[in-house]
Amino acid sequence: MDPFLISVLSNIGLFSFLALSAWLLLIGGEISFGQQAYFAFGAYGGGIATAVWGWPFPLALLWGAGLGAGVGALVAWPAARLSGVHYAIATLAFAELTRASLNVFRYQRDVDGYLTGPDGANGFGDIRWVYETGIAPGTYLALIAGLLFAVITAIALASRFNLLAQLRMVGEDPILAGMQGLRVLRWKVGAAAAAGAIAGLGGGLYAHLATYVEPAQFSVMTGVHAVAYGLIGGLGTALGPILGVLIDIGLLESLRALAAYRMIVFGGLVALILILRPRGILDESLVAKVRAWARR
Amino acid sequence: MGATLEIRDLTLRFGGVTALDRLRLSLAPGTVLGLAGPNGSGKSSLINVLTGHYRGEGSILLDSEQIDHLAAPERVRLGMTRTFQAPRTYRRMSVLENLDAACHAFRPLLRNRSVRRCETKEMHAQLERFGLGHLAHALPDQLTPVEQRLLELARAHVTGARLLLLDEPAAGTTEAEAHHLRQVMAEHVLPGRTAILIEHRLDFLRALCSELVVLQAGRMLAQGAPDDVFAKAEVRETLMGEPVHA
Repeated sequence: MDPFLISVLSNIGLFSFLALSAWLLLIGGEISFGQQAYFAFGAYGGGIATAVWGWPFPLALLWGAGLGAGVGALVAWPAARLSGVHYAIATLAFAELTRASLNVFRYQRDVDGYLTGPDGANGFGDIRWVYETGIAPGTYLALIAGLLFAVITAIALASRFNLLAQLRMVGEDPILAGMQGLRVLRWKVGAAAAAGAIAGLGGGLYAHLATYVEPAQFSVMTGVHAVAYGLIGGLGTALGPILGVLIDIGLLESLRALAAYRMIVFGGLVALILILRPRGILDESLVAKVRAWARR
Repeated sequence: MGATLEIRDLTLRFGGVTALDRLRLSLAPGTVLGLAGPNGSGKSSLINVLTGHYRGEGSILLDSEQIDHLAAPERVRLGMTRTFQAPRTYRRMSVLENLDAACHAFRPLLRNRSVRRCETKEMHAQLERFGLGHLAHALPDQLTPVEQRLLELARAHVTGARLLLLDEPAAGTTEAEAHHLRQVMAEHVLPGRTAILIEHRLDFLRALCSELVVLQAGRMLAQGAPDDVFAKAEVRETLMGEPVHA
């Protein structure tokens, strides 16, 4: 496969984790501009695990996802008492706090005669597990796709067991959901933990593909994009945020003719879709129509 | 048999305003208690304290179990549900899904799927019973006000709750619609249940309630059988504006 295509598809896959993470919170009624922080926890956590501690790669990915989940739950515990713009600001503030902390976070150890590990604003290089083990870019793309498929399957299973419907209930009307026996705070914290885990998993995969991460990569704009992917693609299905990533990275960033105008076109697209289809292209009513059609 | 609901010295204050003042009530199983009183007399506040949205002082016992320390979901799980003065629905879910949500929200997780499968027919039957069968796939915003009220009643019914708290279920409806709601409640919602019913329509209270309490400024003005309560001069003055002659 063409290396450029592999690189584009890998990026689409990696940012799909971030988009799914923000989407999960959106259907739970919260806008988070801070999912890039959990992506960063996964990237730094997973990177340190393989490059500094010498852990096996699968364990490092799990550790990154676990970090994302744990920190996500910790942040959501107080933040879930907020709603709307206050929640959005709280998540944004936490993400900026994380980024600023990474700028001064130094954790370097001697690995085979080289100082390895995060070096504040200079970033964290030498996350070389993928290259040292000789995994080809195409194989790594298959791994990203496989794990993304696993996450989507998990979401589909959650939907089967009514979990997603209950999260939507909490998101739509927390007072009514509470009166129907749902423990709203627990649902919000649980959703934030799951969203943190998904972002952390994506971050771990990203760090091992890029081999180098730095705090600037986890800026506010990354978080804004994560939310926008769901809003463009649609909130009716987990495929919505992935469609959003496909439109942004697959179309705007990767088509060279459009690349220079990406942010202008993307911003305009977000505005246009929010006016025409406030719940995105694959919104709940379209998904319901498709399901009804499929049942016939 | 013990009381389904017992309220002892319930007081609720908003700053310097006392919304409920040392209220005492006891509802025997199967009682439909009407709650009347002017706006601001504490009727909805009482429901909000019972459901856990407001925290008051005093004791609340549901089937002899003290519940005033529990949050709203825990109280609901013990067998109470409510309707809202302004109907609340999940606007992006169909009528059927709204009903389904009420029925399944607090069932054990892993049983949900099998329960859902065998009960979808039952949900349709319930919608038919409440006259909403033809609207199963409509969104709540497409319903008329009386249909939204019927959906709220159907939702309260399918939870299977023992104690219903009905906050002005006929508000904003015409006389004919209110009459229809009254029939539906008498036939499908209230039989075999204990309920508190807030309503401004006195004929509604007279027809559906076995007991009546009139509140004024958070205090109990009168309590008893509806006809006896309505016969009291101070109640007639409070509710109907009739002057009391010395």
